[in-house]
Parts: sequence; C-alpha cells; structure tokens
Amino acid sequence: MGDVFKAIADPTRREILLMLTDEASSIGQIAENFNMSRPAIAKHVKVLQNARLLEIEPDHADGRQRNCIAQLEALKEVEEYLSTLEKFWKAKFNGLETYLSKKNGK
Amino acid sequence: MRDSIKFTRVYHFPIEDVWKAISNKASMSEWLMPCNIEPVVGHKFQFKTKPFPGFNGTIDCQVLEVIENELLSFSWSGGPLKQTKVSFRLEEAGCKTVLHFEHSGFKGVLNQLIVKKILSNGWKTKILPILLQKHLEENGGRI
Repeated sequence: MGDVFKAIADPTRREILLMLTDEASSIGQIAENFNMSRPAIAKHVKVLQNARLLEIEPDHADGRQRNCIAQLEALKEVEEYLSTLEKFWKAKFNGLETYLSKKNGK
Repeated sequence: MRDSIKFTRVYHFPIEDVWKAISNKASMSEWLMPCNIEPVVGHKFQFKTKPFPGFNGTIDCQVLEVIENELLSFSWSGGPLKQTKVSFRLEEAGCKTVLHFEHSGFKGVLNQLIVKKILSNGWKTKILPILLQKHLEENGGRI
C-alpha cells in the first residue's frame, strides 16, 4: 500500500503513468518524450512497476522491444485505505460512549 | 466525490466531559491511541500504534485550533497520509453533546482516484490525457 502512495507522490511518475494510459511505450520512447535520460526514466519505471502500477511486456510487432503498460488497478488500494481509515474512526468514536460511561459512572 | 471522512455522534454526557475526553492526554490515550496531546495551539505530538508493513506505527500531529468546549483540530501525518487534518467540533444539545468529526485533506490522493474512475468507465479518448493533465496541473503536486 505504501508503495502505491510513494509511486504516485512524484509528479514525473504521475505524468509517465498518464502517458502510458494513452499508449504503451518503451523506456526509450518515454525518455524522448520527457527529455530525460534512459537510466532516470528506468528508475521511475522500476518504482511504478514495484507498486504494480505498470507491467513490462514484449511488443507484439517487434519482440525485441519491451513496452511499459499502465496497470491502474493498484490505485484501488488507495480507496481501500481510506475506507479502512473511516472504519477505524467510527469504531473509536463508538467506543468513546463506553469510555465516557466508565469515566463518569453512568 | 468526497475528499474527507465526516460523521456526527451524539453522547449522553455534558459538553465538559466530552471535551476532556478529546483534549486530555490520559483520556485520549485510553479511548483512541497512546499519545502526548496538549490542547495548546502549535503543540507537536504523536500517536503511537502497532506498526505493520509500510507503516511504522507513528502519526505526527500538531495542534491547529483550540476553543475550549467547542473545537479541537490537529494535523495528521502518518503512513501514506501527509499533512491531512483531523477536527472535533462540539455542540451542546440539552444535557447531550453532539460531536462533529472530520478527517480531511485527501485531495491529492483523490485526484488519482478520479483518474482511475474515469479510466475504468472506459472513457478513454485522445482528449482524456489532456483533460487529466490539466486537472493534475491545477490540483496535483500537493500529495
């Protein structure tokens, strides 16, 4: 879960992800588009890959070329985190009534 | 789409009792989580809870607003959340107390959810990345 947040916290990685949602691209193509070095892009791609936000697969037409494909299902974890947080708060505030009863003897 | 967690609870206790429960270190540590809160604007404190992978168990907070028997708010940074805001607002209702709770500041995170929602709806035209780009430029960069 932390990996997804860390991955999307960086503006360059968000832009890479947006570019890839439009069209699968190789690291070289991304580097060209962002005017950055291949190793720098490869590093960002690695972080996105570790967060399961993208997958790398061989190109259909040219098997030697490897494409980065956006995989946005992992963003679900963010949604799930917020719903867990909401449950946490609700449970605590339901427990506050019990605490007040105990403390103030009712 | 919501950008905060919000709800209201009614407690059958006078407002002073509820205020003490939400602003006193010992009380908060008992019903919520171990912490060293003081109801003083600017006071920095931490909640300590059980760590799990991706979360070291510490939440860093700073008191933002204090109006005795009425309002307490503090910043909340922990796990994936950076600089979000938690607030407790109290309201007297006869011999009962109404508590309005809000945890806000998820905007940056929600931008990403919007991206996902639109994409999952299959609304995937050439125009989409341009609109999203604009949206992220206006609202992004603050996660």
